[in-house]
Amino acid sequence: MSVLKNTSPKLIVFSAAVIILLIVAALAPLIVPHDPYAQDLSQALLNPNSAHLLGTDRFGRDIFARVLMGAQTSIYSTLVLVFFTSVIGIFVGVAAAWFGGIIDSLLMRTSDVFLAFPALIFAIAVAAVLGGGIQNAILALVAISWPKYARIARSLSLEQKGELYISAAKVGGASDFQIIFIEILPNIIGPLLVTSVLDIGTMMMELAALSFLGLGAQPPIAEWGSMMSDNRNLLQIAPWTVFGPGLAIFICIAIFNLFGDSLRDRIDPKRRKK
Amino acid sequence: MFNYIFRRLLQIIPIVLGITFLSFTIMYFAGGNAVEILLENQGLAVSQEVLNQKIHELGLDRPFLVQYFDWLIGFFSGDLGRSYVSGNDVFAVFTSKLPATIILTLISLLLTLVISIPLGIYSALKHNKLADYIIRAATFIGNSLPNFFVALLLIFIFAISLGWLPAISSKIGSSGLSSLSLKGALLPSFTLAIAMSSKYIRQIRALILDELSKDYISGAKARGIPKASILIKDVLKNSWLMIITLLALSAGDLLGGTAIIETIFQWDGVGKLAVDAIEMRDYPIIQMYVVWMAFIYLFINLITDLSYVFIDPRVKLNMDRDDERA
Repeated sequence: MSVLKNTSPKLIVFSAAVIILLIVAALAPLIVPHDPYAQDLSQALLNPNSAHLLGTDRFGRDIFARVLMGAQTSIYSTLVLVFFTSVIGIFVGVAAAWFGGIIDSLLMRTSDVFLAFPALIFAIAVAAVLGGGIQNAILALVAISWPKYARIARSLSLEQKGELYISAAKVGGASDFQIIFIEILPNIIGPLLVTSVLDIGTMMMELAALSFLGLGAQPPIAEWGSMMSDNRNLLQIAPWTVFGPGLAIFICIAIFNLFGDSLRDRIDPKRRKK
Repeated sequence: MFNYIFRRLLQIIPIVLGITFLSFTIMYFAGGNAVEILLENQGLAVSQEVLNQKIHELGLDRPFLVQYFDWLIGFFSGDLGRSYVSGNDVFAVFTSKLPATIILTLISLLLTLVISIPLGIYSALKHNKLADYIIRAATFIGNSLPNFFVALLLIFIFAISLGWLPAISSKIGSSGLSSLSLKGALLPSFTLAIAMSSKYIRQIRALILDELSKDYISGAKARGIPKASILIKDVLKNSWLMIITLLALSAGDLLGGTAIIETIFQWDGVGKLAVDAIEMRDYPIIQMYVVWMAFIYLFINLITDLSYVFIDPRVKLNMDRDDERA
């Protein structure tokens, strides 16, 4: 099936926006107008001006440069987070559906326990034990987020398992491994891909929330959540130090949400079903 | 029906055990690190010898499962350990802060319903007109804003620029319930309500549109029954189930959200307690918080499931079917 056929103009526009975002984030160290880590107290807390588009913070660091650098941390960390969450979840879900029996019950009861926790609270506890750092925050969120994917992947795989072509593959002598990777996965990946793209916004919020609480990226690393937390006492005298990263995170989440919505319309699991 | 309720309660047991096991395991990894903090807080010099002795004294050198069951028995007999920092009973500290969090969540839920039911209905009635577009755009924005950013925006507008409301919820110099005021509750609960309303308005709008397109509505309209009356009598009556489902679905986000919002506004509840405990590495408090928030979340889901039985007769018919919790 050709990807470009029937592609809505919306999807093209939002895909382009996502690609631009990814490129800007990737090239951030090259295109920043100032060194995002260079302190200059004589330049502290400047209002936004032509040299400093979003002003400076209390160490005289350029907020716009830090927001750009923060894009790299925030966006790519979120993508890593969503990738590992969905891969682990899908692996568990497909294994549960394929092997059935005791493996299925064991995996699903385990996921029930994880689903019983409010996600952010569980992540806060895990991150608190692991100590701060963006990797630990990612680990904490992966630990609580995979069961959702496991459940979706399991029910999608169960639907496939009953289909004739799977029996045909089995009769044809295909191994479990072959059936899972060559037959089942390609047939269930569409809806799962949509789910993970739609999750990017939420995950970005949760990761930023952990950083905001001091459990994610640590200062001086430029990350939006920790920048906002770091500068929130300056809200009265230098609101741009908070609104700069805040707007960046809002725009980013909005673009990924719009992209996710239009991707779902394109790969609608309901329409794909006969 | 009692059969169903009984079975539902039985399903809870392994999950409750799972929650305690997982919470214990997380804190187990803090292990020796935690003891070092405990000793430092007591003002003792920490040599390896002292450390080992204390670890032995606390029983932290016993096998993992032994420690778990020991802790579990303590847990269910009300002994949850003491705070590393203050030395107070953890459960007593937690229960003293819990009412403030419950009050905050209830006010937020109330605000959410007050905002989202009228706007959701209005948006549906003005389907594809300007008002509908504006409301939908607003919900999209609300959905893309992290709650801590909303909190800081509201502080900037209502506390700093206009000076109408306090940025810090609690009265200075007091703590617990006596430090709270309705005026101080407005900004934190609005923050939580904005995120939830953005989801609710969309759902309510979709539900009302769906109901309005049904045959019985056209029938009622044809018989000359006023639109308002149809809406209130039929449409809303059928919407309760979904509103309850929404409440249960957002409970997890709401409970998680209180941790951040209480910290920003200095609302003296369990969320702030936990975040403060993280800074102090006060692990028994964090453990308590995680276990009990999971229990509360579980309880809300249980109540929701059971309430379906009373509200929707169709659920009764399907009760014997094994329901898989999604």
